[in-house]
Amino acid sequence: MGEALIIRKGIEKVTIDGEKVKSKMNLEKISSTIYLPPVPQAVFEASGIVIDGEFHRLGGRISGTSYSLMHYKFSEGTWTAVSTMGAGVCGAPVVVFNDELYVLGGKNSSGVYRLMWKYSNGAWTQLTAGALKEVSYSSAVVFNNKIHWIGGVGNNIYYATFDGNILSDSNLIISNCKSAYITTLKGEMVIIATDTSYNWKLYKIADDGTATLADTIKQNTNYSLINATILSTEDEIHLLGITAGDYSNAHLVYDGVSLTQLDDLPVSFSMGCAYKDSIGIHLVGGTGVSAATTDHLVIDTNFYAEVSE
Amino acid sequence: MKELYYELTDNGYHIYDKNDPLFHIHQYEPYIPNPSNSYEENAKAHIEALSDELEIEEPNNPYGIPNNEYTALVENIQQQTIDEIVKGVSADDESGTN
Repeated sequence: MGEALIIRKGIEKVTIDGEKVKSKMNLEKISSTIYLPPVPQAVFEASGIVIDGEFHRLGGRISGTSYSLMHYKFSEGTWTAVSTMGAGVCGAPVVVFNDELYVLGGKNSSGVYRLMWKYSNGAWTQLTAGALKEVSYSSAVVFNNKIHWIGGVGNNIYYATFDGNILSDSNLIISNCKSAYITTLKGEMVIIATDTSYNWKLYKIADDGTATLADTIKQNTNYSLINATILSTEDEIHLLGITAGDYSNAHLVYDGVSLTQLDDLPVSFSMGCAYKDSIGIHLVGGTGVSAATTDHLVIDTNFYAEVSE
Repeated sequence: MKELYYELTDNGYHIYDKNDPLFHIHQYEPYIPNPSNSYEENAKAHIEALSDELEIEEPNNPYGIPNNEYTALVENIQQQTIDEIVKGVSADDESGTN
């Protein structure tokens, strides 16, 4: 399956098809895909989160919605079910806040959850801090000691915050919007959104929860980012597998100024999970046109091979 | 199949599943869903609500897609094949013997 067998020896030293890589000095970037042990269960719309440097996947859906919190132990190359949640959930924003895992709403096969859960010491606790607005999709980010949540319903995006005790009311933050995702970029809280004319836009979010249009990233795309897997790093937002159509293999990167299309992904990838570590961007699960997969692969962003003299 | 039971504590309750050692809910102050009721009443109501949740159905097909979608897909392919055979037979039957 993989184009190259790569064994991790450390951040900078790896073996690629028998060639030892010494350092990034005088090296040439190579294109490679690494296939890691597949996820035991094929789902899409799962939630991914890195806890203590290791990837965890919660929920997702197939026939029904999954209750499982899975942990991928990189050092052992194994997936382990570590907990069963009190609710089968998919499409749920998941964040680490005050050293605890929080799940904000999400949905199951028959409806939308409006309550939050937290996971700590192997047990789930359903919070009683208030109810989230009933929405079609949602996302969340931790910023300035609060969880910031957005959810979309109709063409409106609503915004709420949670400080660990009190969930604020959900207020309208952006109108005429088909999809939106909240994250951070270069130290600021932002929303990347698709408007009703399929323009992709970037809004900066102020402390008082107001949104200001900062950039029109791409106009008249014909695509909503609703099915894209969005991966935020400190300085970039990766848009992976925009939809099940023309862009199912797309990999675009936005740095706050320009949008760049990178090499196509090796697989169709939408509604999956992604995370980045020292060896590259990991793609977990997700779907092609209609089927969930168990794929777990890494696309290189850091791999280099020694240039032959 | 879930088989839930509860254990009360001084400030709340735990819910466990006899069939799943990884299932553990812990509600404690101030996270008691209905503070005007007792912990035991809350635990029973919570179990009832949880029992309404859909059970996950593991896919038992080679593609890992929902079983109902797989069944529909296979039936659709089979019907398409039958349609193509019938269409092919009709097209080849220029003499009109079929």
